Amino acid sequence: MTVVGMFLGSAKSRLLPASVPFRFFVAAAVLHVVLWVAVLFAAGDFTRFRGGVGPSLAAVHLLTLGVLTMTAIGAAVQLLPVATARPLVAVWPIKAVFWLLVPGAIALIVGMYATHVGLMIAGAVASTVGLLLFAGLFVDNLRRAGSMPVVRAYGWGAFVSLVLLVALGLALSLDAEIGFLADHAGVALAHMILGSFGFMGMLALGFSHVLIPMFALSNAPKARMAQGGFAVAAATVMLGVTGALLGETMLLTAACVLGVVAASLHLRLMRVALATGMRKRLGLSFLLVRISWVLLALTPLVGLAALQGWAGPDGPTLFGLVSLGGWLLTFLLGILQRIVPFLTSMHVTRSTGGPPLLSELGASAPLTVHAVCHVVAITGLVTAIVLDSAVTAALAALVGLAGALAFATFIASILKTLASAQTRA
Amino acid sequence: MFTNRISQTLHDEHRATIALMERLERAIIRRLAISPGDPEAGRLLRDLVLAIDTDTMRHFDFEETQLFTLLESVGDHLIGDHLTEEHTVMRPLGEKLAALARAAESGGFDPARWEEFRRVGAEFVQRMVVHVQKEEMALLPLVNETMDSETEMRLYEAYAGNG
Repeated sequence: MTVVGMFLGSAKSRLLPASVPFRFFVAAAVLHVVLWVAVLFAAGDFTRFRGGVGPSLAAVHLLTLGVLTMTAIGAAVQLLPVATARPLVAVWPIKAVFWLLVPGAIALIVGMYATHVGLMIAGAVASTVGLLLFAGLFVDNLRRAGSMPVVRAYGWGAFVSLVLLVALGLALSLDAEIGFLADHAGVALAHMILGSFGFMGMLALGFSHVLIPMFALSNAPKARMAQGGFAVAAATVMLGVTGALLGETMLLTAACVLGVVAASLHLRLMRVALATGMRKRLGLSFLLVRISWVLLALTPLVGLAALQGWAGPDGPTLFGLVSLGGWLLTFLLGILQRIVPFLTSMHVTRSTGGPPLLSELGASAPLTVHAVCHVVAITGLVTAIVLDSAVTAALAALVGLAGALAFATFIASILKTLASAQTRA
Repeated sequence: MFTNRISQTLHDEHRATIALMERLERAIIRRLAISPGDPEAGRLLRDLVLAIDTDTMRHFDFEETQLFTLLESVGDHLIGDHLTEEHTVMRPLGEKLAALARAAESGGFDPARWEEFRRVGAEFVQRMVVHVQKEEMALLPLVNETMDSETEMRLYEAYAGNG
């Protein structure tokens, strides 16, 4: 039985109080707004960003630690116990994760923006503790799970990546103070690969195996091909991280080539799921998901072009944008606007009786505004990097900000529904 | 896809229902009323009336009287309770939609009736899609995994014979 089945069956006991996942979604929506403000302020050096403390690094972490991680944790703490049919060991640690991670992320990001090493280290330590606590909850659930082997395999991949990611992140923060790393840039690249493709990527690919068939009303992807897809994706991350830590361009190139295979396998599985699904009209959220898949396919190609110098001097910046802002952010925002009403419907009783209509739970117009703005903003940032134009980057950031405000309006309308409804918490 | 013939039959009916819901969805997006004189619109109205009056109601009745009671007898009543609650909301909606479609087949839509058809249709589509989603992901796999062959044969003959 899959996600919906678990929700309907004995899963009411595994349905967390609405406030638990939604605090992460609200944090993600707020940080999404702040992200675009940060991009606006960083427009001057964003197009040539190669790492190093400053506004651009702060903007990157607003995206990764802020929007992507908050969304992923909010979704994972609710979806994983349902998918694995094993409840989380307790609810309070998730709340503790939130209260460690939010102030930690804010301190880290402000420290990066203001080049304040003490704040950065304090933020990194708090974020590390929060993320490790989440990792502990996550792995405890995976360890006890018996179903959905492919989803669990991706979960294990995400867990290992998360542990390595936070370890390297903490080391990078401390290195800014005491300078003990021999190759700061290499470790930073490994940290980026672990974050984008290891932790977030594995979660995105893994949960796609249940969420996409659920929405498209199709069968789960074929097990053998899905297992093959996981093996190639995991090998890609391992090669990429090893290549970054050893400074071996050959290994990084091999990771990009393998990444093409991994992306192709995943997209083929998803294409079959959509083609065989009963539901063809999947709405605006799936437009974003489809766009994210195009960018997933482009990511290893842009990485390869950046490595070989075919993408010009700003190839590495373009690679970061296409993978983080293009693929992952677009995908998560598309999925988030789909699962938030679904989760809300599980907590709300209609005043006139019967289950609520999903369309009654949140405003739809802001999502249209967001989708248009998001696509224009990402396209604008790509153009800004290619043309090395700070003005274009600033304009793109303004459009992105309008989109983020629209998305926050949608989340606010959902919260209003939740607050006014009888909850099952 | 399903080895159990009950699950497979209900799955086939779900596929046909979703296809019909998508046709209805495309029609009610328009602000201007569809005309029963238009071959495609006329076919949609006819198919709606037929599907709701016979297939949908028969499908709901079979699930409630046979499948949910069977699941309840083995201690699993949550799925049946939840899906029955959705049937209870969808039945009057479906009847209203079928009545509007039937009336439009002969007399067409005036603006007020078209608005009502759009409103009822939109709610019916939304509820049906979510309902089918739940049955496909929860009910049919459960029936497929747990029903013995003797019960399968008895219920299949009862359902197919009633078709």
